[in-house]
Amino acid sequence: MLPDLAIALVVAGMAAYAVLAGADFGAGFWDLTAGGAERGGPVRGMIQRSMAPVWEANHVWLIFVLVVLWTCFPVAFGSLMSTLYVPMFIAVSGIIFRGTAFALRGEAATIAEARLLGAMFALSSVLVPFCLGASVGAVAAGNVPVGNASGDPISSWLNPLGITVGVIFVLTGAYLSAVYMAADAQRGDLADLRRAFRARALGAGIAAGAVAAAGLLVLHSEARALYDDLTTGTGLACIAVSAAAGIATLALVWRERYEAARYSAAAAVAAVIVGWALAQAPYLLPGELTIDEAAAPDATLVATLVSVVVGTLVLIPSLYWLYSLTLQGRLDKAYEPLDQRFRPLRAADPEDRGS
Amino acid sequence: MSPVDVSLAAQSLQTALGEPSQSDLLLTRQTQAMSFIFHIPLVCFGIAFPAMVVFAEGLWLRTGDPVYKALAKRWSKVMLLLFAVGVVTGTILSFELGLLWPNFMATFGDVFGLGFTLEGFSFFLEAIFIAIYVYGWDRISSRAHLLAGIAVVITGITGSTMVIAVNGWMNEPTGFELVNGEVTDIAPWSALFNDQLAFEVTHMYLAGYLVVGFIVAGVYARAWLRGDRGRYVRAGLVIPLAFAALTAPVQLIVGDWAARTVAKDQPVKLAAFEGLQKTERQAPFHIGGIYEKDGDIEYGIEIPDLLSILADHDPNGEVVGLDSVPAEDRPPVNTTRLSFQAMVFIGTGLAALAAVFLLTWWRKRRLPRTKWFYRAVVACGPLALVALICGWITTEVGRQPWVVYELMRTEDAVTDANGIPFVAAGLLIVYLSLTAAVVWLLRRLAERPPESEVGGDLGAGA
Amino acid sequence: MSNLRSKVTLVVLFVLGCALMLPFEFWATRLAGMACLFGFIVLGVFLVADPGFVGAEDEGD
Repeated sequence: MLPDLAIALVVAGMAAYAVLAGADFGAGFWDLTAGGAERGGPVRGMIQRSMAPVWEANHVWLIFVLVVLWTCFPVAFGSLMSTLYVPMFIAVSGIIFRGTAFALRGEAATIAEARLLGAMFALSSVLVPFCLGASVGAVAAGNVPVGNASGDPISSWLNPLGITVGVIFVLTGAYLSAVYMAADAQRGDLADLRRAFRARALGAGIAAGAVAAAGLLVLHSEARALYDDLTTGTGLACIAVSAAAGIATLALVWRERYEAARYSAAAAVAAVIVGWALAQAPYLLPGELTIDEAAAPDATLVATLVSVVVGTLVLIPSLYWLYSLTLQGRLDKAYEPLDQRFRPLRAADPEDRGS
Repeated sequence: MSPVDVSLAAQSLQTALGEPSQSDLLLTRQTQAMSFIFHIPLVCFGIAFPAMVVFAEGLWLRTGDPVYKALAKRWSKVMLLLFAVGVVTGTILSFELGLLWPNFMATFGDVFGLGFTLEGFSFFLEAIFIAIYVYGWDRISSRAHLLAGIAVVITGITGSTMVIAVNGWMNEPTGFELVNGEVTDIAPWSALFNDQLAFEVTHMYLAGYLVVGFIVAGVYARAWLRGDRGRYVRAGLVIPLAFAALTAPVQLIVGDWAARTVAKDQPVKLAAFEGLQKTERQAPFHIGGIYEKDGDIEYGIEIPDLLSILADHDPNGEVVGLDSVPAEDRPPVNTTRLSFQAMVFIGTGLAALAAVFLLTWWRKRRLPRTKWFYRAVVACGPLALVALICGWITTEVGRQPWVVYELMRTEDAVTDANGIPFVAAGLLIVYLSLTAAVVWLLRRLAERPPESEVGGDLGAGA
Repeated sequence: MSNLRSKVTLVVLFVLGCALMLPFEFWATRLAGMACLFGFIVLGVFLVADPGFVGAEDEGD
């Protein structure tokens, strides 16, 4: 029971990370594909605007997942971090380059500077979810043994299943991000951008769905046991919920009901993650370590659960405050297409509100 | 719960993932050290800067003078930037704990992990309140805004306390039993609230104020030296300098507390502060010099009894020597002792400068007139940072060869993976670009005139 | 609180703090000593960085 609660925390954290930070990464994907400096300016400005106030908070979910793993399932944590050090290292490097580029790009004075930073931001935005996804794929495929770097450092994750899951993570982020930004554009009354992101949301949603379906086929050949569990019982229920939510999102986006679409898109993503966890149970490292075997003693699990509950109780009101200020538009930076920032700063420039 | 009985523990500890054979152990340790060196200054800004920003805001609310508002707004942008970078470098560290030290995490993660859970919540809260604080200027009520700022101050304290609790645990492992070499009977709260926590947190917290106070004051001191002595620069100089100057003498007292605790709980580490070979009374302290393998200290200035006084407040006090443990259980002495001395030397210098400032304020109610004071303030920013890093080197290198004192060796904690040189090189590139980016960004921010923060005039004399 | 009383309190807090911290090693004296010293810092910051001193025009050389 306690180990299951602890793993539920990990899964919840992963779902939150996927739904919130996944969208941040997806924004980078759109940044990469936004087009040239002129054409892409409005899209990039929109990305900058909707990300700035909340992006620092979102990535803390990743740390939450790592921390709960190493506290409650330390042997599994040590095993997977040592075997999967390559994708993990690429992911963490990408996270850093990404954060830096993003923070800097808002200050870029020339187009060349902005392009370089933009490229760094966008490229790392794609690499990070890919590597994290591939790591998940490696675990799911049973390629992570218990031990200190005992699995193969490359082939454990760079194989059909790992690559497929990696691509799914990238596309899912892109899809979520497009839906959120369409909603933001609607709130900000920016019709052109709303239409631009609507098209992207529809495209990405269909692509993500298609690759996910293909992923099931790959799973069938690479990790049959997991496939079986995912296509029966509670696993299947989650896949069904995800598919339904996905279709509902497409419908809502089509009909420009973006606020509702935010939630159905998030539900679609969360359902897949929960489904995977349920299907993989009772294993944490398939074929190697069950959740119960990997779990820390009760004292640690209880202390962790209690802290999380108390922490969440403290966190919820403040998070609510932040999101309500953001969604009400109270914290928005004034909208400004990015290419207008390319000129060097002059002393006479009026400061844009709140930047 | 009393510390684990270590007499047999070190021989019998069964690590969770066996015994690694990593050929690049030193490089791994240096990589970890590099990560700390880049992260810890940012931590200082996270724990000390908010109080200064809120103080400036308080002056604005109290006097209505736009100079303070401009300063507070400018500082809050710097605070946000450095916090964001700190989250990023902190994320690297979270990964690094698993990437570089999987056996440490696998063996003891369930003992000390609670500290990181609590830290995580604390920094999440801090991130939220910083976002509200920085983006909410003029958009939410002044009271709500000030409260958000105070929340940032408090969460900075709680977060860093929890992380330092883990470091304290590494120096004094407690909160569990060893049965047949395996970790059992874990008591996570006991593990965190260990005897090292109080002085470590206090010492680090004050160090944050010294580093940030002198670095920020140094920025404005440089402007002062260039002839810009308007009220904006004056405020930017005096506020952080006040924080730093009052902290500096207190930090010396806390340093004494730290030394005595280390003498009691980690005597071999204290022996390394000096390079004391044999356990003895009236132990001397050598200023400077190099410790040689045979126990002599070449070229140093010997001060009789000083080490006994430092460790025990008694010139006749007994101080444990390095040879109380076998050679393979001793830390690298010269690194430890020279870092320790650098830290104390600089710390004393900071207190001396603080005394000059405070006495001038006390007796003449003005700022010092000599340019040398301002040059010293400019120098003290980087110097305080050097002292901070030396302090961490002292305590971390002084704990070697142990990662968990007298229980688990660093060489047993490390990963068995092969790519350490790539990881080290990759991280170096990452950190260098990050540093360059942050410096560049800060300079761009500084280029904007202060007036731009309040959309107009700063009033007379600014 | 008048200026002189504040200054005296400042000194008292520092001296008392040292007196509690340096000779003793009990948790209670540590706690009380650090409370005095933190009080010294906080009071000191408000005294030194008060609007009159912070916001004064430059006195010139």
